[in-house]
This record gives sequence, structure tokens and C-alpha cells, in this order.
Amino acid sequence: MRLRDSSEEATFRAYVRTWLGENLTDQWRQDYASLEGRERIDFLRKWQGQLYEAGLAVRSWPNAYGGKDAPLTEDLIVFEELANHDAPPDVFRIGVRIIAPMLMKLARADQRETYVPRIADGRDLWSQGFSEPAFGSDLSALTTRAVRKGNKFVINGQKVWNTYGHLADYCLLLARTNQNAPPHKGLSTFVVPLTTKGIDIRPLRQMNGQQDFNEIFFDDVEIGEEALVGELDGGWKVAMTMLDFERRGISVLGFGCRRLYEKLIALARATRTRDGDQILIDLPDVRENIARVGVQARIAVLNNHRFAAMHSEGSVPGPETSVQKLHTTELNKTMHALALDLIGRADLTNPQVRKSFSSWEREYLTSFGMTIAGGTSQIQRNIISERLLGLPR
Amino acid sequence: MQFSFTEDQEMIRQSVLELVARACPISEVRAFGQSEAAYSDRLWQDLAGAGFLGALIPEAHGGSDLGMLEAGIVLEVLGGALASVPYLSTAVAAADLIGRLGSEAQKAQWLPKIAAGQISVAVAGWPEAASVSDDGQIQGNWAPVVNAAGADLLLVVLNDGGTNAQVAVLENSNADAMVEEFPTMDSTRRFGALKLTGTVGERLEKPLDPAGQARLGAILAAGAAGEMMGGAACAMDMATSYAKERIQFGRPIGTFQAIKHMLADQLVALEGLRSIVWYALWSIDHAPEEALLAAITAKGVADKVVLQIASENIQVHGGSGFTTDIDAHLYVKRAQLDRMIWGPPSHHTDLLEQRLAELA
Repeated sequence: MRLRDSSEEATFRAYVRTWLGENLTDQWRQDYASLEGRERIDFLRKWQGQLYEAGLAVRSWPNAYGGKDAPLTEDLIVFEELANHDAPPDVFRIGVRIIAPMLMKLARADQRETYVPRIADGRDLWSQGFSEPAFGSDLSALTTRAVRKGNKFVINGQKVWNTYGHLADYCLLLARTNQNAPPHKGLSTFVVPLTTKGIDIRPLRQMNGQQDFNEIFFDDVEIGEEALVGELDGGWKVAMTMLDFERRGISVLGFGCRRLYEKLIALARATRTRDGDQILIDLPDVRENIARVGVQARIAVLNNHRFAAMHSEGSVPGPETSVQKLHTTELNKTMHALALDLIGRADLTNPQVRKSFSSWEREYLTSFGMTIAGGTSQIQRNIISERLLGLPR
Repeated sequence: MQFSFTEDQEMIRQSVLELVARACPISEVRAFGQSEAAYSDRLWQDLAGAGFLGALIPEAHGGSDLGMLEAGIVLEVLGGALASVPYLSTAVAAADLIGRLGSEAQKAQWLPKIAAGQISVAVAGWPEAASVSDDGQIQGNWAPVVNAAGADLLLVVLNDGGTNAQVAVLENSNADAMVEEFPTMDSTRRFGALKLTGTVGERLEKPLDPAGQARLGAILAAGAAGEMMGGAACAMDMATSYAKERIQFGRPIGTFQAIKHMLADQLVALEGLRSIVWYALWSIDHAPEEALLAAITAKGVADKVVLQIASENIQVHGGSGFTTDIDAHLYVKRAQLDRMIWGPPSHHTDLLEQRLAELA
């Protein structure tokens, strides 16, 4: 057991910090904040490319796909430093953390070679086409159909809550290819370029005011049979592998929670009670509440390191990632709620306080998505109890 | 970072598990509850024979010179087995204090006896130290002190108002040291009420400096948390097994999400506890400046999580959980007492609040 950086890790961390200090400048943040929609995404493509060039984007991947064959611990250092430097949201996470790792495990060689390197450096943005209006948690019952027609598949149906679907280049689609098999044995996965004829993408506004979500309608969309990923009717395995990687990706949130803890302390130090008599950090109940979430944030970070040591490099993460997903996403929500409670004790007629309120309010509302995406907290509890504790279905 | 155990440590865990399964089955725990014994001598002797009582004692004094992580592995297994042995106070805290502060003569006198399982030691005076008069007389009251009733030796932390503390070594036969039984419903251990009225006794040679005081606090808090973590894991296993077998409404109760989700939340809490407890135990030997905060954090989490899991184990067992026919009650009683010793929950919260900024 060594709960410190080794000298190699410390050297690498110093490199990451220096690089972020030089590249994540105030000017960069201003530019980022001034952009919206497609312009912002294009700006972030460039950022992903910079991370890639610096050897930080996909460090633990094999050399053949643009990685550095580095141990997972170096990925954790990158995630941790990105969180500590308040890096922008990782819009490429769906491709980089979910789809590419799955492709490297389960896709054909030509698919891996075509798509994976372009995901790594930000050339392609991917979206995931799983959920449907009537089938969210009950994913295996989905009804979007892909029917074979000669050497093509014809897709009809509707997907929903597709993050970045309106801006993405590809969608990794889960569709029904066999009506007669049991629900989860009749599904297949496909790579669908989102420019294909017959696709209609309509943005949805989320409760946090942003517009990342979409509905995607498929109306006689024809794709070649080479678009199939994995085996025909073997899509459930592909989808589950992606969800396992997705939950591991979400463990990054543990580092975010620790950063959030520092921000809560800063907020409580900078904020006075409504009557102006006291600073929030001096109030015993404030300190107690902050300490309570701080301990959980520390646990989230330690869990990241302990769970990373449990699975060997490159292996598909197991159901233990549900433990992290559940813990960090619920904690993230609790911490944001606490921030609003703190601000609620301040003088909201003060413009500075109002500004702080607006930004925390938006972040608080954003935190609701995390306990739903990638399987709701309730689904995580089902996974934990059935796959880790062995309780009957 | 490398948050995993070595092969040697995994082997130690395996060997402690086998030893404890053999020497401390639940029948032994129940029998202990009916007996007048101070601790389970059979298990104590087996632990001595396998070298585990000397985990923190140098080989020159008859120990096996392992470390806090290894001692933590032993504590975790003992906690899971509801074992009735004074391992934390004797083989961990006392062995460490005597080894660090004792004169050569004191080390030679006590350490081999600890390693060989010939004496048991109770520790008093943390977090609240005893007061001591100019002529060396000790005054103080402590309760409940785990394993004090029947202990051969008492180690008491003394504070004369200076920066350094002293550690008194008192033989339990000392006329001015009064140990009364402190009755509790936790039948897996003996507690005592200790009263010192003018006792002088012997001192360990070196003073307990602030770093040593922090280390002692860390050892007691992290060690207790390690033991509690073992109990929590076993209580959770017990509830999980029962949920798979117990049929109601024509199906195992473990198929109901009310039960499933309760147990899933337990596992999340337990995994978090594991991370923070092992971090605390590791830091005692490898990052001493962080150890006390890490340990009280771990103990604070254990205080909450262990009682939650033990209580829900009763709930999952329903009517039979409320009886003494099954063993679920033993975990609750032990957890409840563990919360009260080596710094109660409020103590940990207070310390945490003072050191908010260091926490992250």
C-alpha cells in the first residue's frame, strides 16, 4: 500500500499541473465562456486535440490507438488535476470514456482503426442512442427497429435524451433486430453517422437551462451492414459493456466533489449572514455540515484509488463501479444543495451574493442529471444488490 | 498511489481468518457471555502462538515486528468474529507505547509478556488525560474502559499541564487503583470503571510528546474503526444471507427493493468506510502528520456506518432479530459501545470542524 504519488507519478503530476497552468489560461476561459452551441463544441474539439498532443487525453490506452500504455493511476492523476484546475465539462467523455473503450474490446479491427483514433483527439464527437421515450431504465424492452434489407439495415423509431446529439458526428445506436427473441437477446448496436438521410434531431431544453439533450427520430434510415458493432442480436453485451465503462468514467466525479468541498469552504468564508454580523464559516452548524460532506468527498477520492487497484489495466470495469457512481452522484447533489442553503442565509439583495447564487443554482440543477444518466440511483442499487451481494431478482 | 495489500498481507489475513474461525466460533462468543472470564484465553493464546500479539513488537523482544496495517487486518477479523480479546489495548496501543517510550528494562519486562499472551493491558486517559499532582499522585475517573476489569496492567496518560504527557504503568493489584466492573449489555467484552486516588506508580521512561500523543490517538481511533469495520461487514453478510433465504409473500425477501436498496446502501457505506479506515491505518506508519485527522475521520464514519448496518440487520431479521436466538443483537450492542469509547462521535466531529481546511 502506498497512498502517495511514487516519484514517477509526482513527476507526471508536476508536468500535468504545469501544462494546465500554461494552457488553461484566463484568456482561454473567457473565450470559452463567450461561445455557445456549435462554436463552443468546436472550441472544445481544439482543446481535446491539445490534451491529446500533450499525452493527457487517453493516457492509459494502448499505443496503437494513440495512448501511452500508461497505468490507470496516471489517468486518475489527469482527472484529479483537471478537476483541481476547474477544467471545462468534458464533452468528449461519451466517445473517450464509453464508446472507444467498448470499440477496443468488442468491435472489428477496421472499426477500431477507423473510429478510435478520431475519438481520442477530438476530431469526432459521439452520442449514445439508447433510451427511448417509453424505455429508460427498462432499456432491453426498447422498440426502435433495425430490419435487414439485403446488405443494409433499415432503422425506424425514436431515441431521446441524447447528449450532444445535435452536434455529434456519430451515434452509437441500440436497436431491435430480432422480434422473436427475449427482449435483451434481440438487440444489436450500430455506428450511425448523424448526417444519414432520414434522421431528424430535435434539441430539448434541460431543467438547468442548457440545451445538450435531443430527441432523434429515425425514419427509414438506411445503413450498411458493416455498421454493426459486435454480433447480430448481441447488442445487450455491447450496451452493458458501455454502461460499465460509463460508470467508471463517472468516478471522475469523486475528484470534482473534493474540488467542490474547497469551493464550499471558500463560499462559507466569503459570505456573511443576512444581518452582516457573522461569517458563515464561523457558525457551528455550517462547519458541521461542511465537515460531513468533506469526509464523504475524501472517501470518494480514496474509493477512486482503491477501486482502480482492484481491476487490472484495460479490463472491463465490474459492478463495483456502481458503488462509486451511486456514492459520488448523490454526494454531488447533496453538496450543491448545501451551497444553496449557505447562500440562503446571506443578504440576497447584495449583487455579489446574487451572482454567486445564479451560478450555484445552475450547478445545483445540473447535478440532478448525474443521478439519472448512466442508470438511475435506483438502478445502481439494483445492480449492487444483485451483482455484488447476490440477492435474487 | 497503490491502494492494495501485498501478497504477504493477504496471507496474513487468510491465516488470521482461519485462526479466528477455529478458536472463536460464535459458540465461543456466546459461551464467553455466560462466563466470568476477562477475555477469551483460548483465542488469546492462539493469537500469541501465531505471532499476532507481537505484531508491533520488535523481534528482539519476542515480537514479529509487522506494522499497523497488519495489526489492522487482525483487528478487522477480530471485530467480525465479535471476539472477546483485548487486542487493541494490549497488542496495539500498549505494545506501541512501551516500545516507543519504555526504558530498556521496561521493554524487556513487558514486551515479551505481551507477545507471549501472558498479560492483558487496558489503556485510559485518551482523549481526556489524568491530572497529576506535584508529588506524582494521579487522580482521575474513567468509564467505560474496555477490558479494564481483569486487566493485568493499566496504562494511563497523564497531563501535568505541559506540552508533553507522561504514561503511567500501574499493576492492577495496586491498592490505589480501583477497577470496578462497568456492566453493559455488550456480552462480548468486559468494561470497567477505573478510579485513581493518589496512585503514584511507575512512568514509562520517555515523555509522550505531541507527536506521540497524536500517534496514540490515531492508533486508538483507527484501530477501533478497523475492528468496527469487521463487525459491519459481518452484520451485512448476515442480513444478506437471511434476505436470500427468508420467504414471505411466496418469495425471498431479498427480491423486494425495500430490502435490496437498504443492503445496497450498506455496501456503499461499507466500501467508503474501508477506504477511509485503511487510509488512516496506513498513515500512522507512513504519513504521521496526517494520521490523527485521518483516524478521527475514520472513527467518525465508523460510528455512523457500523451502527446503521448493525441496526438494519435487526430490521431485516424482523421478529427473530429482536430475540437472542440469533446473533444480530450482539453487533448492535458492540457497535453502540464502540461509539462511546476512544473518543465519542461528538469528539470526532469537534476535531474535524477545527481542521476543516485540511480535510480535503
